[in-house]
Amino acid sequence: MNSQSIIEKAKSASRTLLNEIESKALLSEAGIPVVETRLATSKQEAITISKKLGFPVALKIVSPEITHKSDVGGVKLGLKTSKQVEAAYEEILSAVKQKYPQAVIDGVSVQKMARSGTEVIIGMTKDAQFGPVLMFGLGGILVELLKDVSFRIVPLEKDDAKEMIREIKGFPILEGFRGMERVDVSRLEDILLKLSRFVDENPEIKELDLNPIFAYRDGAVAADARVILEK
Amino acid sequence: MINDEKKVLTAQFFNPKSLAVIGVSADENAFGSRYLTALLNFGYKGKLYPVNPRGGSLYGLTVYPGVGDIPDSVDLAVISVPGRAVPGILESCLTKGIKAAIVLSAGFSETGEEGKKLEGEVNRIIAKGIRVIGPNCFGIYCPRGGLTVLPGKDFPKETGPVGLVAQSGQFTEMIVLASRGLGVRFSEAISYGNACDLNETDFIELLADDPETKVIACYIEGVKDGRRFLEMVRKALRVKPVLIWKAGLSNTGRKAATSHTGSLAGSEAVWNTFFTQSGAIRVDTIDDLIDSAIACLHILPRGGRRVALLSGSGGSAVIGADVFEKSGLELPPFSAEVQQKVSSYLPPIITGIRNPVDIGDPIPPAEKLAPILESIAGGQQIDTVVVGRMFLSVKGPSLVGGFPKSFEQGREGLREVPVMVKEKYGKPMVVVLSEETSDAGPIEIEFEADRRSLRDYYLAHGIPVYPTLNRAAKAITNVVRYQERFHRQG
Repeated sequence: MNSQSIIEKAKSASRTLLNEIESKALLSEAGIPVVETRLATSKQEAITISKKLGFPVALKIVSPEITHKSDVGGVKLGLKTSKQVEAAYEEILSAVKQKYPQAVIDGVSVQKMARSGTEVIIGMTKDAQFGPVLMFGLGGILVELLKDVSFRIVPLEKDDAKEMIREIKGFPILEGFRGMERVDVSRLEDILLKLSRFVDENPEIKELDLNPIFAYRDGAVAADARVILEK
Repeated sequence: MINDEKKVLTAQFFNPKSLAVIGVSADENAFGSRYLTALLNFGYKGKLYPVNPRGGSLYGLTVYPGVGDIPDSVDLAVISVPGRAVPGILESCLTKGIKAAIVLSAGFSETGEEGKKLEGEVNRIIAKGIRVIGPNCFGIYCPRGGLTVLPGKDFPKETGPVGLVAQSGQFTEMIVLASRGLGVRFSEAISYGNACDLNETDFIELLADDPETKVIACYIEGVKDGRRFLEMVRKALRVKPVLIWKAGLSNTGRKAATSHTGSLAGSEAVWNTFFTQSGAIRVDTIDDLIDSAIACLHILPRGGRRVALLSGSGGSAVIGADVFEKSGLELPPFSAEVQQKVSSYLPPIITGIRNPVDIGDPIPPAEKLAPILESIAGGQQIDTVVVGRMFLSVKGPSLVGGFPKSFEQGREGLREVPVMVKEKYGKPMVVVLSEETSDAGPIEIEFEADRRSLRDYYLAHGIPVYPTLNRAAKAITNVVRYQERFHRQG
């Protein structure tokens, strides 16, 4: 499915929240590296996909009504065997059904565990006066605590992408602070520039998070994505 | 905007040959009448056509019942009638063939739902082919076109290098008046109010192209199209400095956010981003705006981060170092050669000539100050020289320093020293003239008169003058940041 048809499909169902699989498909089409993720609608399917992608895998609930997946027990990480996948699938469904008995559940997403790297967040929101604005920051749970983030108004020029990454206080971490893995920052710049073009071409998108993105010495990949459409 | 459109707008709004003032009355307190008398006082040279349904005459001018009755073509209509009557008047302007109007009247989108509807009506008429500034504004001050704003009958008649774009009419007035005594003059000052048609971005675009305007200064509350605004400010900055005073930062948008990104990006964060991204010079107060405009005018294209501070007292030297370094300026040490030269003019007790240099004498004779300043200004490692805490007038010491009148003798020529050194070495010079005086009443007035005459003298010779080291540091830093980003790239 191309991005327009994904957006159209959600709109016709009056959904503003795209699920992880739809969000990743959109971003992937925009040239942004994402962890390959597939939808499983049964235990067996989850196991088959896991075997195909290779262990360890992560399973996450896919529901148009659930934004904070881990808060409802909808995320299981680092599953190493078919048995663990099977158990995780059941646990996720029962946990979600218990908390949200009415929620529509599309299934469970299956993806290979991304190699852990430096976590960063890249996102977009709209300002009433300036329109789309991109954000960059160190990711994981620290983003909300430390608020060490920078912004740029779309469209970004090359220097904007460069500067906004270097503007955060935690930038030395990306450069390999005290023996940490040095990150290829140019890949992050590339994501920012592609995202700027993408949101510019898709005004239906209201907000967006790529969180986390794992950044490595030789690349970067978004392990989770969330796209919210305009009403 | 295409070039032809800019030319037409500039001619109609800044240099109209004929002008209709709609909404004058016998009541000289009415806004329309005040506007008309301001224009007459200011000396507008074009044809003036007051309009009021009752006709008659006012200040020796024929009053026409409607714009349709004016026997000539009209370049610009200035409308000051009650808000509800504005759409009808604009229609009559359109019929008359008038292409440009300034609406002074209030009572539009700034007041609420009813006003918004009324502004919508105005917008529908605009779409038929008339350009509008306002509503809810004071109009345009443009000395070379003989135009002034409603409260601007006494504004300076000379044109100048600063172009002002201000949403608020009150701040347009305050900025022009506060600049008057500091020798800052304006090419145009545009009070644009609600910006239902022409807005801040359009004015920046016009001023960026205006050869008379060397510095653009803005007072902005909100922008209509932020993205175009950013693009235009970036464009303008490539040719001239743009100072922006942004008022009113709220965080209403933040509450509605669903994403992490949305919850972290408040309006203030986005405005901060605008400044980082564009490189516009950010100012926060009227003083800041005028201080920075003066620095732009007198320091650019020279200047730089490396500052030498010369002080007549130790305390000011210490404070100066704190203030300058905190604001991001550098105080590099002088070369051995400069140190040696400077020390040869100071008593042997002063050893080790540092930057800031305390010459230990707040009232140096000219023949001592001149060679010291020359040695410093001549040094390669200094971009800008600041003279602080010194009596540069020979009157000062006897006025507040308790010195006998005879002290003034043989000390003439002191005030000329900074000007001489600036011109000889081509290096920007900044003077800090303290406004504090002693507590003795009558002396203060005389001292203040002396301070102002010194201030005017330096400003007239291209030397920025500030009342405190803090304000000097801030203005210099603002200019240096702009210069480093836009000038050195060539």
